[in-house]
Formats: sequence, C-alpha cells, structure tokens
Amino acid sequence: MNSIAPELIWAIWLLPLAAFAVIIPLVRPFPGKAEPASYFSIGAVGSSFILSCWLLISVWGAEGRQILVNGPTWLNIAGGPLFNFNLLLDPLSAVMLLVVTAVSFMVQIYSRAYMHSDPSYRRYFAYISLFTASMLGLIMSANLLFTFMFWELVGLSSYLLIGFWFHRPSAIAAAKKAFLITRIGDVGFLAALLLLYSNAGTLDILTLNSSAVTAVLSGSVLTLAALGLFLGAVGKSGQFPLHTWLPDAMEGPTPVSALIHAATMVAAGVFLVGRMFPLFEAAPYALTVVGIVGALTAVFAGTIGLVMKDIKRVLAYSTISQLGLMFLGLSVGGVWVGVFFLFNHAFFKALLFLGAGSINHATGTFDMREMGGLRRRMPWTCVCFTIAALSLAGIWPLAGFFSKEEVLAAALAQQPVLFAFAILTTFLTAFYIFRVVFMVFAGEYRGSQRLHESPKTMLIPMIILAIPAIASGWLNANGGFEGLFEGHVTHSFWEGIFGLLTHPLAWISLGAAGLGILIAYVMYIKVWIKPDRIKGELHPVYAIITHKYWMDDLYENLIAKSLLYRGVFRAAQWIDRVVIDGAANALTSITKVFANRASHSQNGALQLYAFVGITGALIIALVVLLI
Amino acid sequence: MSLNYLSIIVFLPLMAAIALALLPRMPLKLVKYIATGAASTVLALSVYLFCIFDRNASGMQFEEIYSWIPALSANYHLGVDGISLPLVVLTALLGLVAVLVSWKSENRARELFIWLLVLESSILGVFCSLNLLLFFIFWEIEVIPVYFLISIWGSGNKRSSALKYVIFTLAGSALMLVGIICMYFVTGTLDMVALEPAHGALATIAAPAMSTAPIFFMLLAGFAVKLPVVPLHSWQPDTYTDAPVAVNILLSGALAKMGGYGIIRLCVSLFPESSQRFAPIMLTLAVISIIYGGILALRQTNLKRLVAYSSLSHMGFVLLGIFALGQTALIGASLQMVSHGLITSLLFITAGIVIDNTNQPNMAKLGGLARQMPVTAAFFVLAGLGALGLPSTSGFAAEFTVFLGSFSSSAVDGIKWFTAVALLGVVLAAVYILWTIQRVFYGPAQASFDSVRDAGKLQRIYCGLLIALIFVIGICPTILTSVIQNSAAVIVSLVGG
Amino acid sequence: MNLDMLRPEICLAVTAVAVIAVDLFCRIKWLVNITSVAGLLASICMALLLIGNSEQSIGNGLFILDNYAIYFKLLFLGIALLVILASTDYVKRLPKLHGEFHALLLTATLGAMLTAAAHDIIAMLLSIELTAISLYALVAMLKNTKSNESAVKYILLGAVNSAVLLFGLALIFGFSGSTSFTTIAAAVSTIQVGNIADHAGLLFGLVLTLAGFAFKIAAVPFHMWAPDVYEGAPTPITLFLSTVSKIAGLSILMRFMLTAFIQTDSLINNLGIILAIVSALTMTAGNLIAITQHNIKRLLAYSSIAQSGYMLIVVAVAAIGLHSAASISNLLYYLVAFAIAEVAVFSVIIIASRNADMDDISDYAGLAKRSPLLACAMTLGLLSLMGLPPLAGFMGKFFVFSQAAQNGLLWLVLIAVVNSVISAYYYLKIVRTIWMDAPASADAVKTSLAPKLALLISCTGILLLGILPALLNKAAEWGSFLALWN
Repeated sequence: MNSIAPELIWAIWLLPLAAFAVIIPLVRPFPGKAEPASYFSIGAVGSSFILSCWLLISVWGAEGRQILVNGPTWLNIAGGPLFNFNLLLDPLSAVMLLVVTAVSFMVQIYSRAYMHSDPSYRRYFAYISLFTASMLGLIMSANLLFTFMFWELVGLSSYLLIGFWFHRPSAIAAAKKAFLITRIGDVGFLAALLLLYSNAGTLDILTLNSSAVTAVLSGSVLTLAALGLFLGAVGKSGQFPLHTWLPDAMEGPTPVSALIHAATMVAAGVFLVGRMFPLFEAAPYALTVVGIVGALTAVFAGTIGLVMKDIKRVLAYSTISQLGLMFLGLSVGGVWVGVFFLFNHAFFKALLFLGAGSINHATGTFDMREMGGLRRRMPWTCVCFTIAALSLAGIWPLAGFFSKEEVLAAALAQQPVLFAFAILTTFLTAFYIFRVVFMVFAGEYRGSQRLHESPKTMLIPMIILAIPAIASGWLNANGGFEGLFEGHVTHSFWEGIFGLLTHPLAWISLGAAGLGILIAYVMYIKVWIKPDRIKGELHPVYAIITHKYWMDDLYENLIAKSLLYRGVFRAAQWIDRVVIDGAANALTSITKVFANRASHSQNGALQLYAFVGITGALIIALVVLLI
Repeated sequence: MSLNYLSIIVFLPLMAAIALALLPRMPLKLVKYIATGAASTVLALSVYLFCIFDRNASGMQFEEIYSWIPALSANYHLGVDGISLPLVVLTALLGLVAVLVSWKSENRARELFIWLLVLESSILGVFCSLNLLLFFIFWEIEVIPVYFLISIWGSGNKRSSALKYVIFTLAGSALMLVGIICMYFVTGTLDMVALEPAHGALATIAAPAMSTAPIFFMLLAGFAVKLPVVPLHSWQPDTYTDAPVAVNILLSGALAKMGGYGIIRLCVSLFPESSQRFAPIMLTLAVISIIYGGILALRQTNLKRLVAYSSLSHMGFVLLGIFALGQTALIGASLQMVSHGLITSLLFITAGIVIDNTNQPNMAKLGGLARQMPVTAAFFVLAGLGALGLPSTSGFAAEFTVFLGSFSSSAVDGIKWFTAVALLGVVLAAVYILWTIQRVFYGPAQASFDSVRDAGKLQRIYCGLLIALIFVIGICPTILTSVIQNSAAVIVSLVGG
Repeated sequence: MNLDMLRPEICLAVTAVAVIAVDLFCRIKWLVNITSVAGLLASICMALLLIGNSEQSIGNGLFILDNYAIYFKLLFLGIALLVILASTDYVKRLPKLHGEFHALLLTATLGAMLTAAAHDIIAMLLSIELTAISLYALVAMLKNTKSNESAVKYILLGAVNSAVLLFGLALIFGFSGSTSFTTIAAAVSTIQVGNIADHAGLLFGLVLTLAGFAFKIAAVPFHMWAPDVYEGAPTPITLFLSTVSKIAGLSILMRFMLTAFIQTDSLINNLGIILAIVSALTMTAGNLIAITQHNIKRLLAYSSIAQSGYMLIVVAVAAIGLHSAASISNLLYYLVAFAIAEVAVFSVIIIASRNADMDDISDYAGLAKRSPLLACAMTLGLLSLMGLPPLAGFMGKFFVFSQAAQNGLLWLVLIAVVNSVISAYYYLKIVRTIWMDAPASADAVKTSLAPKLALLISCTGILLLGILPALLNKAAEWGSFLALWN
C-alpha cells in the first residue's frame, strides 16, 4: 500500500471546499430540486474520509511518522515575514482528520432526512461543507498563522450554522454570542501569535516546537504565548470562563450540534494544545493551568448537567465537562491520552446528539418532562442512545471506559488532586446521562404526539456510529493508540480488553459510575427519593445550579448590558456629543459673539467714525514717537 | 516618459466634467455614458500602470516634470511610487463605482456627475503630485465638489454638515499651508523628492529636530483632520450620515486615504526624527481612535452613522501602522488603506440600498430584511465580515500585517502595549458588525417591508466586483505587498525601522 | 515739461470732455458708452507704448514715469474699462446723468493714474483730491435717501481725512524743507534712534500722512466709512471705490514708504510692527463683521476691508524687509487677482440689479437656475476672494504669505490663514443661496453683450492667473522697479 500522493492530501481539504463553492451560487431560490446539493457535499466528505484513512496508514508507515507537503506562499515581504501554506501530517492530525471526516460524513447523511422539509436545504449543506473544509484546513496546516485563519473560519461557519434559522431571534442571538465569545479567545490566540513571531521570527509549528524544546524561546515569553494559545482553546472548546456560548449554541439544527458542538469544532481547542504540546511542556506552569481549568470545568459543567430540563442542554454541559477531562488528560498524560479520549468521545457524543435529534423528530420537543416510555415506540433509537450513554458513563467493555481509565491512571500518577476531580466527574457524568436515559425511555409517555420510529436514513448513521462507540476503545487495548503516537508502549499491564479488570483503579472508576447509575435509577425509576424533595432540602444549592451559577446573567446583563453598554459606552457617546462636538460648536459660537459685538459698533453715527479715525491716528503717532 | 500617463489619469475626469458643463442641452443618457466612459478609461489606464509598474525599483516612476511657476521654482511634477499607485487605482475604481451608484438619480443628474468627476480628478491629483504646492492645490480643490454634492444631494440636515465639513477641512489645510510655506522658506524648494532627507535638502539646513517640530505638527494637523484622528473627527459622523452614497464612497474610500498618504509622504518621510520623537503621542491617538470608534459605533442607531464610526476605527489601524515606523507595519498601513476603501464603500452601498428601499435609516425600526432583500443582506454580511477582519478577506490581511509589523517593530519603545490594546478593537468590530446584522437583517420578517425591492442588476454587478476584490486581496495579498514593499523600505530606512 | 510722457492722461481728459459733449448733443444714449470705451482703449494703447523708455520725471519732479507707475496706470485703465462695460445696462437707471456718470468715472480714473505717478507732495495731494471729489459726486448719483446719506458721510469724512493728510504733509514739508520725495528721504535719513525727540515734527507728519492713506485703503481705525458708503453708492461706483480708489491709496502708500522713508531701520522697524498690527486688526474686523451681514453689498464691503488687511501684510513686510523688490511684486500680483475677483462679483450684482436694487443675499436665491453664467461668475469670484487654490486669489495669497513668513511675520501669516477660514463661512453663505435655494422668480436675468464680456474677461482672468501664474508674475516683477533716486 504505497503512501498517499501530495495532491491527494490537498484533495482532502479541497473537496469539501469545492462542494461549498459549487453549492453556494445555487443557494438563492434556484429552480430545481434541492436534493443534488447534498450529493455534492456528502460525496466530497465521503471521499475525504477514504483519503484520510489512506493518509493514516501512510503516516504510520512514513519515516518519523510525519509527512510535510509544501504549499503556496500567502505573504512574502522582502526582508520581512514570509508565510507559506504548507501541510504537516503526523499521527495527531491523521487521527483528527479521521474523526472529523467520519463524524461529518455520518452527520451529513443523517441531515438529509432531518433537514428534508427545510426550505433552505442547499444553504445548510453549503455551510456544512464550508465548516468541514475549514476544520480540515485547521488540522492540516503546518503554520500557526493558517491554523489561526482556519480557526476563525470555523468560528464563522459555526456562527452561520447556529444562526441557520435566522428568522428565530433566539438563534441569531445565540450565534452572535458564540462568535463574540470565541472571538475573545481568538484575540488571545492572535496575541500569542504576535509574541511568538516577534521573538522566534517564524510561525512554523515544527520550528516553534523545536525552538521551545531547545530553549531558544524561554521563560515568561513562552508562558505568555502558551497561555494565549490556551485562551484561544478555552474560547473555542467552551471551557470555564468562556463556556456560556455552548449551551445556547443548541439553538442550531441538531445535526449541527452533533457535528460541531460535540465532536469536531469544540475539539479544536484540545487539538491546538496537542499540536503545540512541546511548547506547553517547556513553558513553566502552562500545563498546570491547563489541568486546573480542565478539572474545574469538568466538575462545574457536570453539576449543571444534573438539573437541566432540555435534553440538548444536558448533552451540551456534558460535552463541556468531557472536554474539561480531555484538557486534564492532556496536562497529566501527554498528547495521546487527551487525543484518545477525544477520539472516543467524538463518536459516542455525536451518537447521543443524533439520538436526541431523532427523539425530537418523533416527539417534536427537547423537553424531557414531555417524554418518557419511548422504548416501546423507538427501540432502535433507545438501543443506540443507551449504548452511547453507557460508553459516556465509562462502563467496562465500551470505548468510554478505556479512554477514561487512561486519564484516571495518568492523573493518579501525576496529580492526585486532579484525580479526585476526575473521579467526581465520572460519578456526575454517569448520574446525569442515566437520568436522561431513564426520564426519556423509562416510565409512561407524558407527551401528546403520535410516536413513531425515525426513518431508516436517520437510523443507519446512528447504528454505524454505535460501532465505534463500543469498539473504538479497544484500539488501545494493548497500547495500539499509544504506539501510534509515542512509538513505544509505556505500561504493559493493560494487556488485552480484559486485562484492565485486573487493576484496582478500574474497579474504583466502575464503582463511581455504577453509583451514579444506581442513584439515577433510584430517583427516576423507583422514585424512592423523589427529585422534588431533594430540590426542597438542598434548595440553596439547587437554586445556584439551576441558574448556571449566574454566569450567563453575569456576562450578559451585568458586564455587557449595564456595565459596558449603558455605562462606559454611554459615557463615551456623551463625551463625543458634548465635549468634542461641543468644542467645535463653541468655537463657531465664540466667533459669532465677537462678530455681533463688532458689528453693533457700526451704528452709522458720523461723529463716531471721525472720532475713531482721529484717535487711531493719534495713538499710532504716540507709539511711533515714544517707543 | 513616453506618454505622460499620469497627466491623462489626473485630468481626464476634469476634462469630461468641463465637457459636460459646457454642453447643457445634452440628453441625460449621453451624460451618463460620458461620465462612465471617462471613469472607466481612467480605471483601465491606472490598472495598466499597476501592471507595468517595476516591482523592484524603489524610486518614483512614470515621472513628469514641466516648469510651472519659475518665481517659486515650483514645477509641475507628477510621479507615482509603491505607496501611491495602489491608492490611485483604488480612487479610479471608487470613482467608477460612485458614477454607477448615482446612475439612477434624476434630481439635477448632470451637475451630480460633473461634481463627482471633479472630485475624482482632485483626489487623483493629490496622489500623483510630487510638488508641495501642486499637492496642496489638488488637496483644496476637493472642498468645493464635496460641499456641493452634500448640500444638494444629501439628506438630513445636509447643509449644516456640509458646511461643518468645509470649515474643518479648510482649517486643517490652512495649518498645512503654513507648514508648506515654512518648509519652502527653510529649504528653498517645494519638490517632495528633493526634500526627502535621502537627498539631504532638509538635513543640510542643519534644522535641529526642535525647529522642524512645529512644521511637522502643522502638516500633521491637516492630515489628522482628513484621516480623521479622534480629537478632530467631529465632522465625520454628520458628514458621512448626510452625504449621498456616491459621495460616501469617495469620501470614506478615497478622501480619508489622502490623510494617511499625506502623513506617510510628508510627515514621516520628510521628518524622520520628529516622527520618531512624537510617535508615542500619535500611537496613543491611533489606539484611542480604534477603541473610541468601535465603542461609538456600538451606540449608534442610524445605519450610515454606524459605518462612519467603524471607518474612524479602521483608520486608527492605519495611523497605528504608520507610526509603528516598521517596514511591515507601513506595508500593513497601505494595505489597510486599500482594503478599508473597498470594504467601507461596500458597507455604504448596501446601507444606502437598505435605507433607500425601506427609507428608514433607524436600525431600531428595521429587522428581518434578509427574507425580503436576500442579495443585499448577503453583500452586507460579506462586507461586514471583511470589516471585522475575518481571514481570507482583505480586512484580515491588512490588520494582521499591521499587528505583525507594529508588534515586532524596534523603532518605537513600548509599541507592544499599543498593539495589545489595539487588539481589543478587533473584538469591538465583531460586536458592532454582528449586532447590526442581527438588528437589520435577521429576526422575524416585518410585514411593512414586504413590498421592498432588492438590489438592482447594476448594483449587484459592482457590489460583486468589490466583494471579489476584497477576497482576492485577502487570499493573496502579495499582489499589493509586492508593489508597496520597496517604497515602504525606503521610507522606513530613514527612520531606522 | 515734456507732456508727451502724460499722453494716456491727456487722452483720458479729452475723452471725458468728449463724453459730456456727446451726451449733450445727440439723443442716442449708447453712443456715450462707445466714446468712453474708445477713449479708454486709446489711453491703454498709449500707456503700452510708454513701456519702452527709461524712467523720466515729468514737470521737473512733480510726477515720475517708471515701470511701477505704468503698471498701475494699466491696472486702473483696465478696471475702469471693465466697470464701464459691466454697467452699460445699469446706467439706464440714471437717465439724465448718463454723460456725467461716465465723465466723472473717467476723471476719477485720471486722478488715480496721476496718484500712482506722483513723486511730489503737492502732485500727490492734487491727484488724491481729484479722485476723491469725482467720487463724492458719483456716490450721490442714485438720488435715493440711502445714496444721499452715504454721499454726505463720504464727503464729510473725506474732508476730515484730507485735512489730516494736508496737516501731515505740511509738517513734513516744514521739517524737510522741500516737497519732492527725494529730499524728504534725505531729511528722514538723518533720524536716528537716539535723536527721535528733535525730529518729532517730521515723524508726526509721517504718521498723519499714513493715516490719510489708511482712510483711502479703509484700514481698521479708519474703515468706518466704507460699509455705509459701499452700501449706499450705486453698485458700479462701489466696485470702483473698492478697487481703483483703494489700489491708488496703496500705490502711493508703497511709493511714499519706499522712497520717502528708506532709512533708519530701527524707526521703520517698529513702524513695520504697527503696520502689521493694523493689518491683522483690519483682516479680523473685516472678516468677523462680514459673518453677521445679510445685505450683499455691505457684506462685500467688509470682505473688501478684510482683503485690504491682507494687502497691508505686504506693506508691513516692505517696511520691515526694506525695499526688497520681491515684496512689491507680490503686492502687484495680489492687487490684480483681487481686482479681477471684485469685478467678477460686483458685475454680477450690477447686472442683476439693472432695474430694481437686489441688495439682500436672499434675492440671489437659485440664481444658478435662472442664469448659470452669472452664478458661475459670482461663485468663481467669491471662491477666488476666499483663496481657494485653482483660482488667482490663492496664488496671490500664497505669494504674500510665503513672503511674510520669510521676513519673520509668521504670527501674521497664522492670523491671516485663520481669517481666510472664517471668510469661507460667509462666502459660502452666498454660494449656497445661489446654488441650492429655490429661485424666487423663474425668469432668466437679461444681460446684453457688454456686461457678459466683462464677466468673461474677469472669469478667464481668475482661472488663468490661478493655474498659470507665471505670466502675471513676470509682469509684476517688471512693475516693481521704482525710481528710487534721481
């Protein structure tokens, strides 16, 4: 199997871009069926998926497990900066390519049915192709500048897709919020870029990483740059301070949430930290900050997930929490731990969202209080959803368990404090996901719709995604995944799928997950502990959590509206109107005042004229004679 | 020197204007064709010059010198270099777009085209002239066409804002005149090329930095009014809001660039040591313009006024790029001037279409227009993305080069803090652009705007042209930077950038 | 007494008499115009013929014929010609005084020409009085209350001014012993900073003479008469007053300053400073008061005062820089540019008010629609007065300002520049009413050929001198050679 040709590597990125370019002119109310648009888009992403598989194999075979492809120059100033858009393919980007293309392929097939009746069908597929193209570009670029450029294009396509139904005010407000908050993160990214360029003279990822290792860049510069990059990652992956946009991003169509806000875009942050890992490692304190923020977000989002009524909001907070774990894994275990978690998470989280989509397709709502007892009418969705839930909770044979174990093992070895956070998150995850499963599928149907199973074109992608949800963990059963990244396998005692059971740590995490499921079972199936009673007793805590720790209100109402818009900006407008315009008008009015006073002196009296004339002459005479 | 292109480029629109003025009984259609013909030939010529421009030479090209006023030893000296050629092409393009924009106007159309052509001629004159007196004459000629254009074809309280514009510009150029006079009697020559320190005119008179400082500031005042820079900008919002769209394009697209070009050509390259000494002050003003413009854009309810303040914020980037005194920063500043010209013109055109078709300038009452005016909405969104500096648009290419150049320039100490604060401008831009798109185009479609017409066929052509240019420059900025870089290197070498 | 040197003046006198005769004997009124125009043209040709020969004094020192004098003669004749051409329709409003109007106008021009050539106190006084008296009569020609009031004011203040001037000249004669400028110059040269006290009389005489001239130029302390007289007088006469009479005053002031008072730098120096202050005051007062006016003639009166402020800059520079030829050539250039612009603006008013007085700015609303030629001429004239670049006014100002800046009067240049910005306000107020307001009546303004010709000449002059100043530059340099000694 010879290695992939450079042109084909370019094709991975160019195909979805071509699909976007073909569909976008047809977007306007163009006669003819809307259907062919999806064929272009799905065909493009499908072939990219195949090429990515081929690329993964050829990267594994390539010497140093790395392929470099030179590309066109973007900016070339004599004696100044020179930026070429080259491609860098290594295990990290190959795996990410595989994830993005696979999930995007599944979601696009799923969306053909889901978006079937939507009038702007073509516009949807155009935006999805644009997103896929920019995401692939982000992963493959070898220069940090082009990573930044695609980073912002990904932000744009997420804006367009969240605000896809632009006639709904809430969707557009959510889209604007998403773009702005990620933009704040991007400013950090841009600042890091400038810092790196002014100190290292280049933005090429390989040279930066090597210069970080060989201490060409050092000390505070490195930390600032690393924290800047991490701020960008926090913005894009919705970590603690900049997370409020992700739950609102659920306003977009569900396949969009599945693709962008579960599997791929939000993982861009993790990818960026992974891509610049040597830089993070060399920078003092950088990785500890990453770890702390990750752990904090994991627990924080986990608690909120417990009280959400809307199924997509629960999944959104679950994504934030799992991303927290990924960052934690990165900080303690190294690149491959974080990426392995990301790899598994992408599949089962996408499946959960598609499941939620098919539930919505049937019940017409996302509010779990109007669901229940769907297992009878929607068996396939129930099975897939439960598999994904088990995998998310980290139950043994499924993928989630393996990646969570790696993170827990690494956390236990490095930072026991983070390990405690991780175990608490495992418990919370299991609890809220099975609260959803039991509220949705168990008990009697509380809604009024005529329930029906989703059409085949929606079920098939879910079933296909269920397979990696189960099996993707086994890749690393005997260190396969780690071998791909590090080239050598460190711990040998995880031999085989069953090998893990021999290790006490596995039992601790299984116990925590089991406890979570048990409590969910007790509260929502058996109803021994009625949820309302708990709400009563722990009222203050419950109130804080349901208001999402007042973070949303803090940002929107306090900071944005009252502090800035009505405070500082109104003062600036007042200054502009009164001080600056006032000064200009004052100048003209002063001249007018002088003009009026001077013109009144001209009252037509002859004596005055003669008098003024003579005295003027005498004054001049005096001046000449005396001085 | 074979065929003096520059004189043709500068005076062709003027000749067309005079022809239109002297033949009053010409049918309106013919008037329009003559005007468009003149504008497009000028554009074609300037693009031709752009192609045959020698990218490696750094001095002036296509030079023309004829003796003009022997008494002042002032000669008619035209020439273009890397900094001014892109601006000439930009002005020619915007001149053509301005003529096309006012294609459908009926009210005194002949005079409208006459004044537009005179205005275009004067701006081209400023960019091409290399003699201080000639530069000043072209600089002041544009006052009257703008005054007439705004006060006859404007809207709102057009008369007072037109007068405000004239008084501000005249005040600025009055100071500039005194500066030019002082330079004349200190050095004895009015020729810009001869005045450049490389040729030693200014340096030889042993003019210590202190004595050239007042001249430096007087010249700077004139350009700062035009750019505009924050304290001297109070004319800009009123004038941009009340001007007709065609004038908006030339005003914000080309006239504002005269300020930037003047600072580069006169202040920085002729007074290197003064510009280095006073760079921190100007950088503070630049950063204030960026943030202040962004903040005030947020507070506006009138659509055109918002675009005016966004233009103030973007010109702050130009000032930042210029006074960072680095080669990359200067290239970024010229790139930003060209890209801002394209982006703001498109914003004004689309805003103009929205306001004309719905005759409702107040954004609070607009909403959900994307359903009724999809094409205009698409153009406005694309222009907005360019304005907030989305990669692959010229806005990003320019802003990134400015940031890169200023952050890593060694000429001015403390430059890193100025750039860091300027970064916030990027966020502010995103805020007010997206909020405008949300208030004007998205949201539930309003019944009252159902009968609203969308962009006409001609409007789509030139909007499409502008969009294409924005993305071409964004995707491959080397088209422009290859032309600019040598001249920027020469200018910056004097300052040791 | 070789009279052939005074051929242009004699020809003009003969024309004046001929005009009265023609008016007396034949019914056809426009014949009067023809004769006066023909006379003027003949006189211009004679003056052109004089250019060749070298400087000569006429009437053993009374008058002198040098480039400076010829330049001004040509200038006065040109302006007079344009005034008469412009007022061919206007004159119909004074049916009986047709001939007298032309005759007096010619005598006034004659007086101005002689003033420019005067080289002796008595000759100077005679020619100044000749112009003044002819103008006293002309101002009162409209026979309405406003015209009479302004005539009386002009006469009384003119008389006061003549008294002051006479007293000054008498003192100078007394102390210097002779009436010819050259001997006065010798007497003045003995004044040193130390012995100012014992030359008090001579200095006091000098100051009073300057005050006399300042009245003619309407400089600040003596400008009070100008607005009322300009407003009341018939418009052609206002034009004549603000151009010929003012330029005559300036010409004799320059000659007096540069020939009679060339010595004692220290003395001249602080006189220069005083002149600079007077010029600054004149500019600012003229511009400021003009803002509040809504009567167009009164507004143009103040603008004319402001313009004389700019001219006085050159006089101040000449006083400080002491007879540098360049300073005079700038003044000569500026005077031509100023004169043409005034002619353009005033002839439009003359044409517009051919039957009824059109004095208020609002009467000119929408002039562009009614008659584009008038509107363009008026706009060009106003913008040239404002100093907008492509026009003659800007070139004149640029030369004057750069000259002043070179001689250390930078502060005066700054004030002048600020003043020109203030002036933009009221000039544009008129331009705005012409181009943007809706016209009161839709009928076009009828203009016969002659006024159109005057307009065309002045407009081309404005544009030509603005774009190609080199032509007039050489002439101005040629004209700046005064006969200093002989």
